[in-house]
Amino acid sequence: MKRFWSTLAAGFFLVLCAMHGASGAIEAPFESTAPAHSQTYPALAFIEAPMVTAGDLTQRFPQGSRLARMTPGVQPSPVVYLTPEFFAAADPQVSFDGSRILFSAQQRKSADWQIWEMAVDGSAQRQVTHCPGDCLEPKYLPRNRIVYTAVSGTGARRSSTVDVCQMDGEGAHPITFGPGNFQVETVLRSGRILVSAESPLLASGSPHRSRTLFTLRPDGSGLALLRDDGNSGESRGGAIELADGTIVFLEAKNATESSFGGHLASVRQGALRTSTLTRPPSEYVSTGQMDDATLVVARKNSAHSASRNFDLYSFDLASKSLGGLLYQNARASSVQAVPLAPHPLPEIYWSILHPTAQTGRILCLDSYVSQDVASGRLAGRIARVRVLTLQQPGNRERVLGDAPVESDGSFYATVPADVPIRFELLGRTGEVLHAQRSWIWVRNGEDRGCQGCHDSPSLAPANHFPLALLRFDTPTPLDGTLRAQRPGQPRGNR
Amino acid sequence: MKVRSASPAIGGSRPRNPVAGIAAFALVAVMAILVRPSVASAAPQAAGTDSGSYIPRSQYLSPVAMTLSADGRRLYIACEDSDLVLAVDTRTQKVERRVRVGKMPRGIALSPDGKTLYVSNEDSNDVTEIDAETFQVRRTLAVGWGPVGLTTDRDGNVLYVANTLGDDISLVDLKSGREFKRLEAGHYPEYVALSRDGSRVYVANLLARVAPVDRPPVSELTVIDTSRQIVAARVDVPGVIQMRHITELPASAGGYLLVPFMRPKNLNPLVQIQQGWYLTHGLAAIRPAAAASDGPKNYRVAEVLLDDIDRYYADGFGVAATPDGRWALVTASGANVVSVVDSAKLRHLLQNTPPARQQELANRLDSASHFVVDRLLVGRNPTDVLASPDSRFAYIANRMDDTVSVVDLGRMRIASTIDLGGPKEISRQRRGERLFFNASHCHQGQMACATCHPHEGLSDGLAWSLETPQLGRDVVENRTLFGIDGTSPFKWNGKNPNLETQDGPRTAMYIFRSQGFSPKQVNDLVTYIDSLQLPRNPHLTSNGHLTDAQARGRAIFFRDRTADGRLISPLNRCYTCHSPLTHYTSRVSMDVGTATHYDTIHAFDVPQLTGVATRQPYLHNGEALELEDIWTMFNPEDKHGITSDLNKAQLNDLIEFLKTL
Repeated sequence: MKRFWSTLAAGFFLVLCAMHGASGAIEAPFESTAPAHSQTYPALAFIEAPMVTAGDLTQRFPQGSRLARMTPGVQPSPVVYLTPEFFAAADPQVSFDGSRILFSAQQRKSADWQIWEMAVDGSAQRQVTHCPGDCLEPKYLPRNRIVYTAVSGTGARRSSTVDVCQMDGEGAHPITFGPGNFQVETVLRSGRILVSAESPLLASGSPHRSRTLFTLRPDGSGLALLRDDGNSGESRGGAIELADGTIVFLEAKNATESSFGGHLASVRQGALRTSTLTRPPSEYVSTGQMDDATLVVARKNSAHSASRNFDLYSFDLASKSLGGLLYQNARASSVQAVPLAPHPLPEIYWSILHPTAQTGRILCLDSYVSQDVASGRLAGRIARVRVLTLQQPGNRERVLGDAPVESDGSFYATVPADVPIRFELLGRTGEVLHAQRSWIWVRNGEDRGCQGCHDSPSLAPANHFPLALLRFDTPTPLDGTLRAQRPGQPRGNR
Repeated sequence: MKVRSASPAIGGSRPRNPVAGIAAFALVAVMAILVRPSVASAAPQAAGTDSGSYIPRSQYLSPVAMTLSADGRRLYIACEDSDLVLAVDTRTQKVERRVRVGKMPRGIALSPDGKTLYVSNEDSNDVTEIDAETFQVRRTLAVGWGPVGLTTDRDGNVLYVANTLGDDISLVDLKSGREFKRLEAGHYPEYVALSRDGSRVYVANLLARVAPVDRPPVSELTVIDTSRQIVAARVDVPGVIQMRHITELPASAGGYLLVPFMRPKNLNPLVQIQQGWYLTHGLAAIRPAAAASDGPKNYRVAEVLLDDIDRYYADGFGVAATPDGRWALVTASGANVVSVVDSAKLRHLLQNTPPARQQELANRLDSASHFVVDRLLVGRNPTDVLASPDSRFAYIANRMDDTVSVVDLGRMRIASTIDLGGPKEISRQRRGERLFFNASHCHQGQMACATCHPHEGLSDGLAWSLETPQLGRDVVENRTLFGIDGTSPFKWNGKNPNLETQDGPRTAMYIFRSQGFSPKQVNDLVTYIDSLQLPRNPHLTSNGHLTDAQARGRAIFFRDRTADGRLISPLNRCYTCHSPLTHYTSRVSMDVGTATHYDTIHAFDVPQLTGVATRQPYLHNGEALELEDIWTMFNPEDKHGITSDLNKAQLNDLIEFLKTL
């Protein structure tokens, strides 16, 4: 009953906000706490919502939400609400010059999520995307482009991709092409995009599959695991990059637990394995960086163990300890806080894809290399590599063909662009020695290189000229002329 | 690993109790007086202001080599661009003396008694002997071609000088001042070190041995027995190039020789640079043999990378072990970083890696996180590094900033930065030079221009598998940048009409795989590259006259008729394509029959012949290891000039003439 009244109050407030006018900024009427701090922090943009749920991106704020702005430590703390005319707002992202905010929003409860942009004071709001489905989690890219998560379909066919468009919404196109329900995490300073997806990237999606972090370039080429540290069960997301290159993210023991948030974990530059910043249980739902030493985190209210609300706290990175309360609204959760401050422009990546190409090429240096086995090298004599794709509708596997594998383990093949592909390593009699489980892709005109079928970013290959490149009949064209249908499931770990 | 800057930690900048702050300030002030060397300033050095006006290169100091007095109170610095040697008082951190030496001083050594400095002058092919106290030049000692690294023996009787361009080592009798012996080194010997027991001089060679380009490079650590003054061992260091400074850990820390290197993957297609790991950087850890059992097989060579999985520390240059053996510091001259190695952890890793895993260790990008305890951000292009005798401080020469960073090894932070007094205005050429040595423009910081063009513009001597139009085709030899002004077009296919095209978006897209340079930066870079001059050529006599052999070779080069009197077609005469009017190139592409099945084109840009003696290997793909091979192995149809009628003696004469260009 209490929740009913609070929801009603929140709804009434939203109506009041809408009546107040479209110019945006309204000061908070509800009870809120922003303790005084000796430290000075930048102003924050964040999301305030009566209810927060994890899981389906479009259902995170079922009772609506609003994008707010406040400065921690300033008393009294005027919280300014910037999106009163929306039913829900989420995913604030500040432009590189600190002057604008990109966010996703629902105008009405039944409306699709779209991406909007406004000035940091809430003025000059404009709709950026006009997606046929839901578009969320936008991030700024260099050169007046954005990247975001596009969700489409219903029921079992519901899936998400990572898309890119211009700042005016034109030229929207996906940059992920395989199963796994890709979502945007952040844009790294190197210009690459950090995304999350199910692990492994199987055709049959499941809401209970764990998720992990991948990197790819803004043109969709070069998909790679951020770290292949052997985590099989943990679910990772909510990632940010710190100024020193460390990636901080939320980690839960499994996908079910991740529905309620996660604990904080990180992976430093150079480290193969992740380290935990906070111990489970999962009490955090979002992170942002305030300065070199401090995060702003949304954490479950520690004073009320029964509370489902999240409040904003500082988090000291050096001591790995929770700092002071930055903001709390007793009737709502406060999440997704980001500093309203300029931040460095990522490196520009100059794409070298060919717009008219229908294929890409893949060069494997040594297909014996595999982290799936303790020795790091597959046993047996690999004779050929078979390439498969997924045929729609129905996600049926189709063999595109096979290519010779040289004695040094190298192969070089041309494959169709922008479709899911995976590889099977065959013995001399055609038996499957090892099979990749994850579906990946090669972009149009991409020359994709890899060390092996399941290589590690921690090991550079030998300096060796691949024998596959000495052949005059490579790259082997695997354009689908062998149209065998394959029943059954692949073997192998990945 | 977080790179730490000179700025104090964030926590230290937060407001505090003002009374406590004043007390702390007073305490720090007292400590600053008591602690030596004094902490002059923790602020990063000034970046300098951009200047549009012309500032001669010689105005900049460019500190590149250092040595320290035995008591640690005087730091001697060779400054290559200004032809100066400076003496800095480490307590006051002021330059107290300076003296002009020969052209381009690049190495410096102190006699065992601390009374005499020896400074190698690369461009004047000599060594300046200086009184270390008065800073008066005593005499100039003639040595070989391009001297860089040098050291005396333990008694101070013999000076060993690595002649970089001559590929040899001069041994100078310091009593008479005369070179009495010259030993063959590897390829481009640069830096040397005397072993702790004085029995050996170690010489690190910058480039790999000249060898077939389809094999991984093998570099050499040349070991000289100081008692017999002979080469005792030529130690293979496989898979690496660009070995530079050498330090020897104390026996208590394992006694390893540590030598920075670059470990390229040039036989893989360049497309792999976008995965990382294409150019890796690390340390060779070489375990010397006991003196009684010398020989290459008695040196155990291990290699470890200093890079992280997704961040590279390009162009290792200086290395120094602290006297207590606890730390080894390695400068990454392309990343402006000093990596601090815990030598006990490194030793533990080396000793606990089974032999079967040693090769893998050389390629592991996660091992540095086990033994590198800190990364310190220093000035631009850090080169040499030294540790103080008490192991409390380290000094780093920042070549492109004209400064020295002082590291407090107790606190593991930059204590101060010594301004050596170079111009504060930064000329266009200097800006370009800074860009040339900076790897931040490449994906993950894997490489700078200088990575493949070491020694300020040289070719690295490797062939590279570029990816266009097809992987594995058109593998091409790297080319030198010395004296290329006026030799356009560029690239072996001659497709780049100027350096702006060569170094602009194409470099960003296909080589660096990152943002690359802005148009203004490209202009700065081109200004610098155009300024790179050929080294002084010792094959020319001082009066400019050719020797008999050179004159005979010249006649062959300019001949119109074969040995039996037949007229040579103009297109088959040496001087037609290698025109003396334009740096001995016609600046067009020619098919001279050198293309292989793996080339997609048959005509290649005619390379200029100026400085050809220093450009091994030869031809577009580096197949010809020696000049003679061009005619005896790769010119079967006389398409590359008529040479089949020349005998061995005539070819030798031709080579003698080409060396003079």
